[in-house]
Order: sequence, then structure tokens, then C-alpha cells
Amino acid sequence: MAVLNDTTKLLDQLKGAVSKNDLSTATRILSALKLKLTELPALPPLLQKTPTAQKELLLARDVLEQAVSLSVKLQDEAAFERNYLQLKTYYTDTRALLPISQQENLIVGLDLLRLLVQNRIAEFHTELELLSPQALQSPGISHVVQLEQWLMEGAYNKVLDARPKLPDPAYGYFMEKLLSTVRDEIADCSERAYKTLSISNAKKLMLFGSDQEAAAYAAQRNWDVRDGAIHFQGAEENPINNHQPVELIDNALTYAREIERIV
Amino acid sequence: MEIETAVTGEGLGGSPISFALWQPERALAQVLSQRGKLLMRMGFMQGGKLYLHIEEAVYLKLQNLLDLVIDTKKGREQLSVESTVNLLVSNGVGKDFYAVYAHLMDASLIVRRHPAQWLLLPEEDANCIWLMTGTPHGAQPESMMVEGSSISKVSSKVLPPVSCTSEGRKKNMKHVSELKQRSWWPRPVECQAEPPRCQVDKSSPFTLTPFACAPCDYAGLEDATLRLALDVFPPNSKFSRKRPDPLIYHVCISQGRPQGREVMSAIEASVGQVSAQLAANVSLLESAVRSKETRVLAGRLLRQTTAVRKNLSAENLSDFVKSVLPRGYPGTSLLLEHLKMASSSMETDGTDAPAESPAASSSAVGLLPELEIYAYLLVVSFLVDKKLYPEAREVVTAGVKRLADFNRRTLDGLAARLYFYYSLVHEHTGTLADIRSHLLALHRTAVLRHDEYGQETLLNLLLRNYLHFNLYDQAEKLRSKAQRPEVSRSTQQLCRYLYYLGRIRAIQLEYTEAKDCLQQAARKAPSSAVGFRVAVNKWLSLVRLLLGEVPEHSEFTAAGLAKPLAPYFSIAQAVRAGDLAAFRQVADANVKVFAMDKTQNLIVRLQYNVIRAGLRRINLAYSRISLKDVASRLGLASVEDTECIVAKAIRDGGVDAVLDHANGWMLSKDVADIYSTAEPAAAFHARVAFCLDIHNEAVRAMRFDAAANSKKLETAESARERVIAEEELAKAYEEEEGI
Repeated sequence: MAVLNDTTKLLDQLKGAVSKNDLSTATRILSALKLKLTELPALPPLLQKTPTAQKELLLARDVLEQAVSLSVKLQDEAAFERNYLQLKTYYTDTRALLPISQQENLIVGLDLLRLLVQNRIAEFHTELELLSPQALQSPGISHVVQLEQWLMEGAYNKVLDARPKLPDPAYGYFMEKLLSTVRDEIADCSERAYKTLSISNAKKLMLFGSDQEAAAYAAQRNWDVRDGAIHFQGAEENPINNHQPVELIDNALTYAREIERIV
Repeated sequence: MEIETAVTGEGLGGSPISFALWQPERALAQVLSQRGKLLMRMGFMQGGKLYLHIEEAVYLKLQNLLDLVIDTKKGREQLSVESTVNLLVSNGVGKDFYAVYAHLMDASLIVRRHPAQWLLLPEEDANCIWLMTGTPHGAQPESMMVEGSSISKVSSKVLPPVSCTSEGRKKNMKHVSELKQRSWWPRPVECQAEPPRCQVDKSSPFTLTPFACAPCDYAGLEDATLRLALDVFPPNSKFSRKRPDPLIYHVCISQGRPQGREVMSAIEASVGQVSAQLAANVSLLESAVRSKETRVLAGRLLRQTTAVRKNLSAENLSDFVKSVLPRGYPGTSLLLEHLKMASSSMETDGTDAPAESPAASSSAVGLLPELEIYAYLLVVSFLVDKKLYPEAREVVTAGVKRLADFNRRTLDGLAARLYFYYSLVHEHTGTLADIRSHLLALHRTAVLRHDEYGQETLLNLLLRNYLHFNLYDQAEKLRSKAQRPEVSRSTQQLCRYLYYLGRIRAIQLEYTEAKDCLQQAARKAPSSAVGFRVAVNKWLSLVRLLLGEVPEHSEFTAAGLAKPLAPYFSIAQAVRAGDLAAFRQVADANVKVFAMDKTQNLIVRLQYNVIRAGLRRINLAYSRISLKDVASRLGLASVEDTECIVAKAIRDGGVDAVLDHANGWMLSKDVADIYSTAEPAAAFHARVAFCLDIHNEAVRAMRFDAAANSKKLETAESARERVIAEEELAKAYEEEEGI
């Protein structure tokens, strides 16, 4: 019981620190809290049926949810992933034992967004399969799912437009990261799709703040900027052609060898 | 001359047709050249030669396995089908007799005229021994009998068969008495000493009268209209005439019209056909365990069980359990109790369970664990068939618990099947999540014991368990880490494994690999496993669409697949046409179907493919088109979106065009002649590589074992066995898919 009370007190301190944006204190309290959690027997993987089991589980879930939002504030993706994976157990395995968390959809959405930013699409879809239809309707998750579809289709401008309409300020960090990914994608596409593109249009397309920014980006990608427009060289003639004869000979030799084995 | 070559069997390119010479004076057919397995269990040997009775010859002739020839003045002539059949009548064998015979033969049983003898001494007269027991006693007009002069002479002096005692007869009687020692012998209450006999009686429709008769009272029986006509032996592919199995029952045919098939099967069910088949299975099991033949246990035994399964009833199952398991054994009461509940809830017959036979407990000492598990398996499959899942769960849980006490390789095949039911039943009762850790433990044990059947089955069950809850991540982790036997022991399990793997890969966006797996699963699945093939094809069609391929129209219209695949067919049509509006409409209309198939998320992913297909059409049709028109044609919201989408399609190589931002145009590049590129060479190479691969695989798959030489072409019997095996496989799949 004593452990439980201590943990509850620490959790309140943590919440206070996080809300006051005192991140260093929060980190310190969090590591103390995590140590305390190991002393609670009702938590996974032990899952002992103690009389206070539900309280303990609830507490642990709260702590980990706080930890997740703290790592977003710290912009620490690795810590986010670790904390989220710990938290996930409470959303799946002990779902039947606990009331549903208010934060759940938001945090799951955040995790999906993280996977999207890190371009881990396979895992993104694996996680997506786990969600119920109701969860998919919730604003936090549907936003991310929509983003992924736009990215797949190539409707990048919609992704960029979606920036101001965040379901939660916590999404801001990952959205910023997504923006740079998307910008690179657009640049890639533009290289292939356009022969020329004026700087001002490029600015609009890639949502740069000013022409200078756009020009700097163009320089960074080694684009040929003349007369206020970017000239793309287009894709070089595929160099594969040079390999063709070698490949042909290779194939012919393989056929010969195989046929020899048959005959 | 023609006949001569035909008789040696060389003129027909080695086709497996036997030849027999009809000898009218003896009313027997002498086999000249013997082909195929079926003949191994028919006819009798005398003086080193094989002879067939007329009904046997006709049966083979109608199966197209035998040609009957006859010596005439002009030389040997081949008899047509009609004249062969006519021989039946002219030899006093009635059509009802033949119908009974053919039906029993079709059931893979081994059937002989009563009294069953397989070997005759050279001086014995076949007609004296068999005495035309096959005569249908009045069903044929008397005049017909007189025509076959030599036969009617013999049959006119009615001799009781008992008096025709010979060496073989004694042997047979010995078998009968040995039979009585066996605990599993089906034992109708009235008839303690003799095998059960059945009588097809015309007056009361299809009632079956077990005879209450004194032991060996053949003479009293035969004087009236009833005579023993046929002796039936259990199926056995390794039948030997020198050591025939104990016979299961006699068949009498009373006067009357030939009965229909349904009547026959009703009679069989009540006379103990089921018990007989079960008894045959038990003896198969016992011999397999003795010789440690795990393949027989996993293969033939379970196949034969499937054959008997649809005829099982609570009564004959409880009889079986009582005879197999000792009375004091703890599992027995559990099994019996559930069977009793099953029978009472179904209200089949109001009769009480048959009185317990005291002889049953005699075999308590040497009870084989295999036999015990087999009993569990039968009871569980019966309860599952009757959809009594909670009861089945109790039984199967007890069975699995009992399995843990043993570590025998001969148990593996049966155990794997029991695990399958364990999972199936829990799936039906909605408690699949609870058994996951137990399945994992069982899988670990199976790996440690090199139990390959168990490993494969349990891995599939675990994958199914995970996928049931959409836990693709866990499933993939388990799959990649779990040890799998190099060569799969069973095609069923391999098919399932490929299907699960294909699903995992599809979710992970590895469509090429997913397609390979699903395609293999679809190809390896037997054509009768419709439920499984539907499930595979659903996923396969989506994966192919996601890959940008268009599935063949025929894939959606195959027999049995058309209806369940209809939503997927309309999706494929919409994707092919690149019609976003139609696609959305179809997706919305069938949202429930897709959600149930767990393919909803794949459908959502398809939207991109629809757009791209539409873009490609526009690209091919127009050399220059404004982005605004593209947007309206594709049903996209704004020009800005369209520009980005087109740009991405160009980058991905789906569309060959250039954008002009200033004018808002899409300019298509000229379509280059594909034959000037390396494309045809690549396609050619892919095909050649595929053919070579197939060849190499085929070479690798060819194994030579000792039995390969004796095994010739597929005989009728093995064909039938294969059909049975396929049906069983289909049933297993349906069970799994029809949830």
C-alpha cells in the first residue's frame, strides 16, 4: 500500500512538472517513478491478482501516458518508442481490466504519426490492423490515417495544408518533421515531372516562406536556377542499357547450362 | 490374333486392364493377366491360378478394369459389356445380389461369396463349395436356373454349407472364434456367438432382423428363404489371401426387389457398418503402433475415420467407447456422459443406451494410449459435427490434458489432430485468446520432441490465433523465429501456413511475396476445399490489384467461388476502369463484407491504384490535357491535388508525361515502341527462368523408394483413396473457414 501511495504522490508531482514545462525535473521524477512501478505486483508481466490490482494498473498506465507525452516534449523519438511499447500492453492485454483511457486514441495516433515520419509503413499498417472501427473514427487517429492516404496518393499539398489543423498540440513536433519529408518528396517528383518551374511557383508548391528560402533549397539540391526559374535536367538516359549485352550473354549462358543438364 | 496381343496386354500400351477367360462349364472366369490392385482381394486361387466368380468379373468389367474373353470355335472372342452382364442372369446370379455385392465393393470392403474361401485345393470343386449361394432364391424364374444345366444339378441337392467342410472352412471358423475374443467386436445383444447377420426383408419395409440363433446353426438357417450370401471383410490394402482378416459380418438376401442405395446405407448403419469400420480402424491403429508406422497413423487412419464420421451416432460411439476403454478408466465416464447428453438433446431415438456388455472390460491392461486418444478424437469430432461446442470443449480439454502424460512418436499424428479440434472448439466458443499460452507451450514441447506433425499444426494454430485478433506483429515474430520442419509433413498444413504468411505479407505491404504465397496456397489447395479457396482468392485478388495487376476474369467465376467473390469482382472492375466514383460506391456498399474478411484496410489502400489506372488511361488517350480536365475526369477535388498526384505518378513510373505548371497542362510523351526496349527480352527471360525452375523442382521432387517399382499406374482403388483423402481435406478446411 505504501508503495502505491508513494507512486501516486510522485505521479502528481510529475503531472505538475510536465504542465509547468519543467522538463528536467519531470525526467528525474519519471525515472524514480519507473523504479517504483517495478515494485507493484499486479503489473504485466506478473499480473498478480492483488486486491488493489485495478488501482495499480491504472496508476501505471497514467505514468506511462505521462512518460509518452513528456518524451514528445523532449523531442526524443527513441524514448517515445520505448515508452509507447510499454504502454501498449495496457491498451491491449489488460484492456478488459481497466476503464478506457481518455488519452488512448491521441497517443495511438501519435505513435502512428511517428511511424509515418520514420517511414516505417509496414509497421504503420500492422498497428492499423489492431484498431477497432470506433478508434479509427476518433479525430486523433483518423487524422493520421488520412495523412497516410494523401502521402500514398501524392496529394502532398493536402498534407501541407493539414498542418494548422492539428487534433492536439502534441502532434506539432512530428508534423514539422513530416513537413521536411514531404518537401523532399515533392522535390523528387518535380525533378521528374517538370522541365522548368519558376521560383515563385516552387515556393508555393513546397510551402516555403519566401523566394530566398526556395532558392536556397534549390541550391542545396543542385538545381539549375536561371532567369528566376528552375531548370530540371530530367532523368538521364538509363545507364542500364550499357549492361544489356552483358546481361544477355549471362542469360544465354544460363540457358545453355540448364539445357545441358536436361539433355 | 488381335485377341492374342490384347491378352498379353501389350497391344494397349500397358493400360492396366486385366484379362480373364470365361469357362462356362465351371461357371468361373480364369484370370489370364492380372493388373491392378483390386484383383489382389478378389477371386480365389486354385492350383496357382486365379478364378473369379461371375459377379466379380462383371464388377471389374463395369469398372473397365477387366476384359472377359471366351473360347469359341473361331478362336477367342472378347465379350461385350451387355453379354458379360447377361452372364450374371444365365448363371443364376440375380440383380439384387449383384447390387448388394457392388455396393459393398464400392465401399472398399472386401467381399466374398459365402462361405469365404480364398485358397482351394486342386481337387476341390468350387461349385460344391459355393453351392450357388448367390442364387437369389426365387427372384429368378426357375426356368432360368435349369438352363445352366451343370449348376442347377448341384443346386438342386441342397447341402447345408456346414457339411462342405474343408481346410479353409475350419480356418475361417477359427477366425470367427478368435473374433469373439476381441474386445471391440460389435456385439448385438441377441447374438453373442456369431457375427451379426442382416436380413433385407420385403414385407416390413427395410427392417433389419438380427438373428437370434444358436451357435453354428447354419443348417437351420439355410433351409428357408434365407441364406448367407456374402461374407464381408474389413478394408485392407495389404490384403493377403493366405492370411485374410477376420470377417466382419455375413449378408443374407431375402426375397424381394432390389433395394435402393439409401435403404442399403440405412441398413448398413443399423447393422453395424459403422462399428465394423471403427473396428477396422482400431485394428489398423493397433498394427500401425506395433510396427511404429507413423505415416499410417497420420494418414490412412484419419482418412478412414473421415469416411466413417458422417455415419456416427451417439449410440454406436458410446458402444465403441465402452468396448475400447476399460470401464473404470476416468476418461470413459466423461466421454459417455457427453455422448448421452448429445443423444438426448438431439432426440434421435428414445432408446436407452445398450446394456453394458461384461466382456468389454477384459482388455483393460494393455490399453494403447493411441487408442485412448483416438476415442477422444472420435467423440470430439462427433460433438463438433453436432455443433455442441461447450461439451466438445470439455472433452477436448480433457483429451489434451491426457496427451501431456505421454511422449510417444506414434501419437503425434493423432495429437496434432486433437490440437486442431482444441483450437477449433475454442474459436467457436470465443475463448481463443485463453489458450494461446497453452498452445505456445505445446509448440515448444513439440519442437523439443521433434514432433513434426505437432510443430506444423501448432504453428498454424498459433498463427491463426494471432491473426484472429489482428496481431500481425506477433504472428510475424513467431513465424520468423519458430523452427519449421524442412519438408512439410502434410499439404493441408503447408497450404494453411502459406495462406497465413501471405496475409501477413500483404499487411506489411510486401505484395510480391504475398502474391507468391497466396498463389501457391491456392494452387496446392484441393479443388474440393471451397471455403479455403474462397478465402485465399479474396486476398489474392486484392494483392494482385495492389501490385497493379488485373486478375483474370476466370479467377472470379470458378465454380463455387463466383458468389462469395462477387464484391471483390466489382472492386477489380472499378480498379481496372480507374473509376474513383464507382470504386467508392462499391467499397461503401460492401463495407460489412470487407470488414468481416478483414480486408477493409487493403481496400482503402487500393484507392491509389484506382487513381493511377485512371491517369494512365488519360495519358494514353490525350497528348495534352489541362489538369482541370484531369481532375474532373478522375473525380478529384482540386487542381492543386491533381498536380501533385500526377507528379507522383510520373515519378513512380506509372505515367509517361511532363507537367507544364505555367499553363496547367499535362503533356504525354510519345509512346515508344516497346519492342525497341529491353522489355521483350526481360519477359522472355522471366518465362524461360520459370520453365527451368519448374523442371528443376520436378527433378528434385522425384524420389525413388523401394516400393516405387511395384507401384504402377493409379488403380481404381488408390484413385478412390485419393478422392476420400481430398474430401477429408475439404471438410477440414470447411470446418476452419465456415465459422
